[in-house]
Amino acid sequence: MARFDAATGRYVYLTIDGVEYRVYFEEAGAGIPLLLQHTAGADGRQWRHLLEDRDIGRHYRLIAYDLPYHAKSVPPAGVEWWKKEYALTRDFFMKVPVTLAAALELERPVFMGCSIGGHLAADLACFYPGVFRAAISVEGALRTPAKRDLTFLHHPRVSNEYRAGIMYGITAPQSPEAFRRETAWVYSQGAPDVFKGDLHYYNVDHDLTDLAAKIDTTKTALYVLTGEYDWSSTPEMGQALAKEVRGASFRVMPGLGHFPMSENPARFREYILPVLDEIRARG
Amino acid sequence: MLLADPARLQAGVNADPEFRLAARYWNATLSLESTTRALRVEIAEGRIANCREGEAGEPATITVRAPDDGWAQFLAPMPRPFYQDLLGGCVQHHGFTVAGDILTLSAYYQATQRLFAVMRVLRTQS
Repeated sequence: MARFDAATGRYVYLTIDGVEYRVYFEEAGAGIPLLLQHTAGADGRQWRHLLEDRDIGRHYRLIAYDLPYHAKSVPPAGVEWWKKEYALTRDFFMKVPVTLAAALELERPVFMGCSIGGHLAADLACFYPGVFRAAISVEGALRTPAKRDLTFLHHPRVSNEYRAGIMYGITAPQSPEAFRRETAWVYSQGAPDVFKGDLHYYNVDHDLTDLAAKIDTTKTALYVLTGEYDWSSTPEMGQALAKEVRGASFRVMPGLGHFPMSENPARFREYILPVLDEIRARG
Repeated sequence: MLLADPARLQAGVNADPEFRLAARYWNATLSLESTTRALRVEIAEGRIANCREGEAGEPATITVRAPDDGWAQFLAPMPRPFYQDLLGGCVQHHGFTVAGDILTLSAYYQATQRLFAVMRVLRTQS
């Protein structure tokens, strides 16, 4: 008899700002809805280990989606997207999980995202208070302005191997080699301009410096977790975010890099299970 | 600080199957410079054709400079946080500098990472 993975996938149509998007998502488990947002230039495959976790699936309905323009969520047919440079904006990005949660009729879901998704967790808590009962910001920060020239992240003479290499370098050396490689592999598969376009949100559009203090954790609880080896959104930066938000919690994850859920799922599990248990206990 | 024995580095990198894949069609000269020593790595058609001690400041396609302690941390078997990566970690956080043809470095970043990975192994063995 065949051995099946726990996750099942399907498509849902979402209309955002008058444009219809065909969005792919995979889900597993039953209970409190938990939306899972991938990192820039990647897709929902990063969450495959969490989707397979039966302990989590006993209490949570895990839903990992591909952002439009990523993996199976192909660009919308109603837009001439090929005539303009792709750039992810905060406004659009926030509307994706909010619209998805409404379309799936999710009741007080939890949101968890990593990197751009970690930033988005904090933005959702700030701009959509109460829509999510809790937001888990993995590798999130108040802001992450670019520290170097990004030209070669989208350049005709530089292949996707560069992005994969850079992402391999932001994993922790302690993480299992096979999963470090898988994390980088996903980065070698995105459309050429999408990673750099996602960084428009990561580097420019996301800035909670003067807004984070307004987050009301009685409406949306905020948890911030950062990998020790994340040189992009560092533990110091994650701590600065949590410090600005009354009632937020922060934890460094030793021996993990920028992609805890995909580069070392066993280690990440140690840090995320207590958070999910706490959210469940709070009701 | 001698970063690697040139002959062993040349042999080790040329025997590395991943480097051979990542470095295909590559022609470049790398100058890896510490405070006191420089290592010159000449790559032709994806293989190290020549590797020797050189002089800091010699013209090269790509030059990487760091203090001795920085190189020691970078080449440790299990690097401390942010020493695990050149461009994002060491350059942004630990005072490394990279100069030269950054387009070429970007195109061959995976090959460069393999070169450093072999250097780490050689230091562990020495």
